[in-house]
Amino acid sequence: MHLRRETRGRRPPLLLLGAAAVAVVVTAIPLAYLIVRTFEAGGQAIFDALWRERTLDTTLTSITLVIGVIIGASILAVPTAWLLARTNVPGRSFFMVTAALPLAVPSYVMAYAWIAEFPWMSGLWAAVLVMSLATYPYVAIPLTAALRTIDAGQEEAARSLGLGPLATARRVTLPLTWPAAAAGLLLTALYTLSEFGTVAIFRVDAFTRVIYTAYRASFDRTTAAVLALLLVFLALLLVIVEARTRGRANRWRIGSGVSRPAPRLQLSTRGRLLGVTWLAGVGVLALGVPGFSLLMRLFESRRTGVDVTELTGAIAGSITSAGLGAAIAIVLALPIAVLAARYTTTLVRGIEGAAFLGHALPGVVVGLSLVFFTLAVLPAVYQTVATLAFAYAVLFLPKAIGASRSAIDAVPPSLESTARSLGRGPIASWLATTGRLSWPGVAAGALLVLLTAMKELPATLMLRPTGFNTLATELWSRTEIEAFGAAAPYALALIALAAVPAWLMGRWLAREPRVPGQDPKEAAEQDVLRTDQVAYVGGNR
Amino acid sequence: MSAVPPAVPALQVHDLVVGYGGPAIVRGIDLQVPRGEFLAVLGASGSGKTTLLRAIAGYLRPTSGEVEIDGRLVAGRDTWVPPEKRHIGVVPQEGALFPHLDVAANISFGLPRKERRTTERVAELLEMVGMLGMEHARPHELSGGQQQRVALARALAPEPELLLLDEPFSSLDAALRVEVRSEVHVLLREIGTTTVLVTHDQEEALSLADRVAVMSAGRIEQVDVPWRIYEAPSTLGIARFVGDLVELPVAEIDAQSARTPLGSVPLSPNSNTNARVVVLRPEQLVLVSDRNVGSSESGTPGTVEAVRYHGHDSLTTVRLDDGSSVAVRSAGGAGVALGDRVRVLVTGAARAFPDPVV
Repeated sequence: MHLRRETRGRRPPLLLLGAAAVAVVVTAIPLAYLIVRTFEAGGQAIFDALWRERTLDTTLTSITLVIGVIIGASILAVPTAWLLARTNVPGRSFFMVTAALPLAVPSYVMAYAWIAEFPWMSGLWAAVLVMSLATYPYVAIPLTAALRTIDAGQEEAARSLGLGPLATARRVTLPLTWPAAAAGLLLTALYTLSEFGTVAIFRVDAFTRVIYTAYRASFDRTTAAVLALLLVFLALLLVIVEARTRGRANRWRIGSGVSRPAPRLQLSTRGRLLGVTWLAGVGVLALGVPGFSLLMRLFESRRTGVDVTELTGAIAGSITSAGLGAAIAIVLALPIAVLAARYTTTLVRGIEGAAFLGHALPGVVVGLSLVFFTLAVLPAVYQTVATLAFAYAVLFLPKAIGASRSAIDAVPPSLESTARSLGRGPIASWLATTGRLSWPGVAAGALLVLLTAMKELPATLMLRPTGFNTLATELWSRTEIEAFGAAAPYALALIALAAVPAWLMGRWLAREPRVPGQDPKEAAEQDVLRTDQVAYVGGNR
Repeated sequence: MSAVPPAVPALQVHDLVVGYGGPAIVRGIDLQVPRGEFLAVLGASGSGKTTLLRAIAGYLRPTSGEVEIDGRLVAGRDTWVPPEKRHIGVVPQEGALFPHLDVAANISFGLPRKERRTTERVAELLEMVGMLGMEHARPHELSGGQQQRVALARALAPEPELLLLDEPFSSLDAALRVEVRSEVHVLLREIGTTTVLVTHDQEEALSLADRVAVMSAGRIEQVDVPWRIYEAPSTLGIARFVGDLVELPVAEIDAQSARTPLGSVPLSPNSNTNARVVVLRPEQLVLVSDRNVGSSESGTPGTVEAVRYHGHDSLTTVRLDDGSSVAVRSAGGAGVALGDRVRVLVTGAARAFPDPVV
């Protein structure tokens, strides 16, 4: 509370405000140019592109896919979360990890693994199955946390007021956990809507694939632009609803009183057996099948031989482009994060909100727009690593802002003002306190961008220089010609490269210095939130 | 420092107005703190006391008015001295120790680069706050009281002209608070640093300070020595804020006394004769058991309605026969039980106030 008092209504320095404004404007280039490009085509062309049976079909396919994945992910997540949070089912800590791990596997890698094992898989339902398996952690993790953190007193009070277990679940537990679950579901929906690889592998004509195809058939770029805008509009709706739901979830979080987690249901032997079977079954589907398939393909590829030069070239390409993207993202994110953490004026909230809209930009849209933009305005950078890195920065800026902002938020502003009272100037004070204490979080944000960018597929396909390869593009070109064995080393390298930074980051976060005077309970709560963040590291988008 | 003649106050505030863009939080404050004085600014939360402190420290730019530290203008119409050039020490709430630095590095943070390398000054300060040998402890390894002591040592290290304490004891639990508070008191007396303490705790303000400034709604309502604040508050609001109060409606009043439910009560000199309410402290009332007084007419009869026993004293609520109720403080136990018939006597003079506006 005294944190707010120190920052309330203070006017931010102009230099900082200027830097943040520049960052927002630069980030807005892709969307802005897409709008310009679309309206240049003229009203008739836009109308023609929109008013076609094909457009309606695409919209319906995308919506069906999203609804299907939401239902599928819920079916997988709800029993899993309940078993992990509320019962004594054995092996809970092991299954907690297996429930988070699918996030570390890009969903198109999962799709590739399934189709390599079962080549007859295709169409909407195959995509729904694989996407549900890939995204159910988005729902399961926050729901498990919510079920663990609800104060047992509330459910006990309901029971004492005469409600049975089912009525208590419906009238108390469900309303209390709903915001957490809803936020997870919306994340799933957004992710499904923007996913390109899986949809393309199973040949589902959802927005992303149709846009990509229309772009490749270069005579039809207006259609691609119109559809891209329509996709952004749908994604924007989801982002807004998600932000609102999350806000409500925060309001409902129960205050500082001592809360006691609900006791675990003691299952019978049969119940425990059923529970383990469920958790193991979900684990086999989400991790076992893809893992087995990848290893089998790897053996096949060992027979045909792996081109080591190509593989190391792809690794270098991934690290170069994603690393540059992470650097740009942090430079753009820092002024916005400092503003958002330290000042609460309307202008600052506006800037932060604008930067967050990046969540609503699917990779295929940013790719398309930057192709248009570089060709028309800056042909010198068309299909260069710089443009590709910039696309990554735009796509993953919200992640960089989020990580930096929470790191800066965690440093009490009183440290900075105390440093000033002890005779250090404003910049020296910032460096000695906020800068010094928040850099691990900021670095974690950069790492998060790096790792997410390495998995990005559609924008990479559209923007990379000719002959420049990354793990994602190499994997992609091999699955397109159904050379499943040859693709396996790239898939495994991708997973391994993604896992190393995630592991490093976990250790890093654990080492962060504690702020004194913070009570241990609060610190423990923050640890829980951090575990959450680590889980989200996997976010495949 | 010795160049400044002692007549110049360590801190002077003229007509200071401070806000955060909206309505002003501090609304026209004048204050003078002589060198070596310990001043407490006492106010409820939202009274603007912390805003005042932040403006003095230089964390906030005032809307108008002036601040002078040791005769030097640091905030005025065309003057603005940033916090790092004000030679002040601040002990913030909860200490705000730098978590990444050990105790020694925290204390030497404000020293010039050369002195930061030597250990004597740090040892001297640690000895001062009774923590010698803890140089290399990390802030999170310290108890709350130790953290506050280090924060104090850190603020004192550069030998500030003025020390500002922002509710430094409020995060400590009750027993520790009293202990750390009295240690700090003794220490600051010894060094003779001019100190401004901001607090919402009236007991803390009255027991530590040479003078107390009571703040309410952005203004200073009274500046006085502690006993005057308690015994001669200038408003009914202050009277209520600084301790338990017996408020009596006035039936008739003249320059010397007022007729109240406790009979005729003598008034302090120069009392307001338009007063509608007079107040007494519970310790100004004396409880007499009806048995001991016999049929004597002295005192006002009533029935014991509640007894709160604290050990060193007790507070008894008496329902007078006319229906009003008063609180009586007795040293030790009062020797009465619920439902006992008692008489209430008044000692000393009451203070009179115009209207009992809430």
